[in-house]
Amino acid sequence: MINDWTETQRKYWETWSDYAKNAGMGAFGAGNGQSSAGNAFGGFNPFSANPFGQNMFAQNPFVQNPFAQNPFAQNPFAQNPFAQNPFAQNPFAQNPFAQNAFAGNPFAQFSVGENPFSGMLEQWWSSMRPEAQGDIGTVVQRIYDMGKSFMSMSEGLFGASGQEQPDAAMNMWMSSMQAALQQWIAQIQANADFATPDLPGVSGTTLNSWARIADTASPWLNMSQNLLKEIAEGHLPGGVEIPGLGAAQEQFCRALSMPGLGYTREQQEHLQGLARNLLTYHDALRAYKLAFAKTALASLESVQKRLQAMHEKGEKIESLRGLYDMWVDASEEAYGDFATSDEYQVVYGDLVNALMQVRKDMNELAEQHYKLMNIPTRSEINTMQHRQQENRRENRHLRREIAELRAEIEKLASTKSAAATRGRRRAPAQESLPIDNVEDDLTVIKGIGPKMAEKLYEQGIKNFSNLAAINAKFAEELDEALKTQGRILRDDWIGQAKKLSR
Amino acid sequence: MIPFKMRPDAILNEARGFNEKLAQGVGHLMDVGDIPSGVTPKEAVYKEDKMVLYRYKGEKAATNKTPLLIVYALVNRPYMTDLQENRSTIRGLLDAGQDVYLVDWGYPDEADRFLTIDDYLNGYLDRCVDVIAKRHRVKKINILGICQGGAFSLCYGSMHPEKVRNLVTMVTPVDFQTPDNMLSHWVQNIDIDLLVDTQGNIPGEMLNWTFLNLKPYQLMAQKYLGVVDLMDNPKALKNFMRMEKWIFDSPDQAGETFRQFAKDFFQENKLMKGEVEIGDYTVDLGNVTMPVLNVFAEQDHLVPPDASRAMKKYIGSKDYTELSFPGGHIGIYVSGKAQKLIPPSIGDWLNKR
Repeated sequence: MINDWTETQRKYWETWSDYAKNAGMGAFGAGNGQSSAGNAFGGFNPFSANPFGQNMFAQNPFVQNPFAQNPFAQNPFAQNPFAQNPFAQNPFAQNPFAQNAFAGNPFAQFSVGENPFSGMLEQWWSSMRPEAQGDIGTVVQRIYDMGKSFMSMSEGLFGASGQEQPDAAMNMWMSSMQAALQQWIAQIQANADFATPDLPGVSGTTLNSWARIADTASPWLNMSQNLLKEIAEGHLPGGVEIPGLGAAQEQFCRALSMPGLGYTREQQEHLQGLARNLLTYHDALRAYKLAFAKTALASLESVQKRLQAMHEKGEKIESLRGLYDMWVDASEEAYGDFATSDEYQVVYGDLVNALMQVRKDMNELAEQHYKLMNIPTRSEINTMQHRQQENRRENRHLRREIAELRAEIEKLASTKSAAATRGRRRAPAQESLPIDNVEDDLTVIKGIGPKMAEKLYEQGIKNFSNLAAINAKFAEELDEALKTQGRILRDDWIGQAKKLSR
Repeated sequence: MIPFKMRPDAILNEARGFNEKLAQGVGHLMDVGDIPSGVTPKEAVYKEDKMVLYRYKGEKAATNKTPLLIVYALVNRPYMTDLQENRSTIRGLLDAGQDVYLVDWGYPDEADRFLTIDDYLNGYLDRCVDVIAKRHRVKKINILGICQGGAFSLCYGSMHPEKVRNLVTMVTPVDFQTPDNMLSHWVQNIDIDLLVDTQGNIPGEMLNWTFLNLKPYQLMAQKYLGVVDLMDNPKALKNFMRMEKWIFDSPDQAGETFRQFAKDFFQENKLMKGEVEIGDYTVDLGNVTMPVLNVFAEQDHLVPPDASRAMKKYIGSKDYTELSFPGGHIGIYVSGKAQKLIPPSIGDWLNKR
């Protein structure tokens, strides 16, 4: 039985490793093809399938500091900036951005490189990436993760328990998982360093997604960790390890509240603020994980309840997939209860806020240094962009206003020139305004005699309104055409016509 | 007592079958090939910054003389409405006689972080509406808003009722704080100002993972086991991949727009209170007096039906129609059932008005 199982597993991994080889990734077969034999749960490790097993919570991200030399600790500016040539130590050599700036981006779907919580799968990915890119690669990864998780569940049932009877195997498996979760919770409560376990069907879900978000901050957190240690060492004998600060935390926090003194006071205060916010973040993360671990336990109970209910109704699970789907449903339900609870709202918000606060502090510290190096900063760019966007908005408004005014003017002008055009051409323009057909006695106007009235009639100016609508420019043209030698304007025919047309 | 009825050999067979399917499927997976972003032919008719206004080409000329503008959300890409030949809401609308335009907001980068909702609605969108109105020599056009784009369309309809003849909203939230709104529940304790001040634009991946975490077991786990069942069917596999591409194709959201949307709409629920301020306007849904067709999905986990239904209470329109669809937030565009029901119904409704 167990041999059969091992054979199935072997085939499964061979499939994938063949694929991996075809795709040019040699590391895959060797790294991931091993079964989980020999672990604490007698072959079945409910956590073995976690592709993100080495996530940021598992490995203390602060231990492997990629910035082994803390640029802030050796900050030439912290002391007298003029005593030491700041450029004697090339600030870029230790540039925190030079290293992980892109690799650490969680949003570059599967980051590789110095990412401290990458693990073997990342390695697999890095070799596979050139072949299976983008959409396909991403999906292959997920199918792989879930297949692994699914297989692990099956293995848990039969492969490793040594039990030939499904229900005995299931019971054993469930209680091993329960024990692991309880242990996890105890570890979190004791503020010890802990690994994040995984459950079937959960791999790569909530905690992992949080790791991705937090990952943008990881270069910062790494760096700040050393910083924190150094601050602590300055205050506490022997320094402290974080997380797991434990009893020392209170003392440490008190030390962090000591007022800064002297020359570097401002910088000290900044660093103290950052250290305090880092501690807040660790607390928030712990609270979140604790809540999450309890939910995992609740989902396990939810599975048990369903099994019980099925048993009472006489229903049976007949396949692995059936079991898996039931498991997912039950877990989703337990998760849903958690996610809609007030507790979740608080721990989730606190976590996001605490991380953002740390990032903000780190950004500010970075900016201080950039300023000293005469390098433009993000906040300067923000100011420029903000002003630029305001200008663009204003430009748009003005352009629209100009267009509207222009349209208005054209409308006015066209009314006048329409009148003028009517003056030159006879019938057509007047059709739309029947009143224009009425002929007035234009000789009433001072300066217009019967001959001139006739000439005006010929130009289409038949009544006082027509004449009143003439603009100055057209009046000049008319003057020239009728050879009136400026009398139109001089005698103010238009003004007289306006009065008469009312 | 565990209610199992599984023989060990049956289980081994199942596991074997699973592995075999996976092995066969790898080849099909690699053969899927390119996945286009949208299938219906279209032409760009207006561009501004990263925004493009498209007009879709139907097989026959549109019978409805009033053009229809689709306003999609900022958080995902609009080709959800045009995913594949037989699953295209846009194609359905064209077939129903509509002259279809769509505003594609593009992918904002850090230089766009100060784009506000005012810039999007009274800027980009308003100019698109003007362009379309001018092309067709009409004063008013029809607007179809989707999800966040639906909320935007409501705002637009309130600010510029003189330009909107009919308004269709799909899976559009109006009451952002119904008890079943998990997303809204999560966002209440987040310091949005701190988030935006620190992050600038909100990364699409961050939003995306947040959405997936609404149902993590189904959306991030079970689904990928399910795909193994499709692996011997290249066509089904390709369709799965189209959806995957869409789901993970998430633009960042401009920081200032996110700030106002998260605070005013989600945290303070100002849309239904008539307190949202956009540029020189205060958005009063009472101004939305044109005919409104409100389409929502009964199993929507992102925008619960009650969040949409609330619209009826707050808009000024006397011609209000609801269309409730038995499906989810995405199914309403891509399921076969939706294809038969939704676009023709929208087309009918518009043609009558």
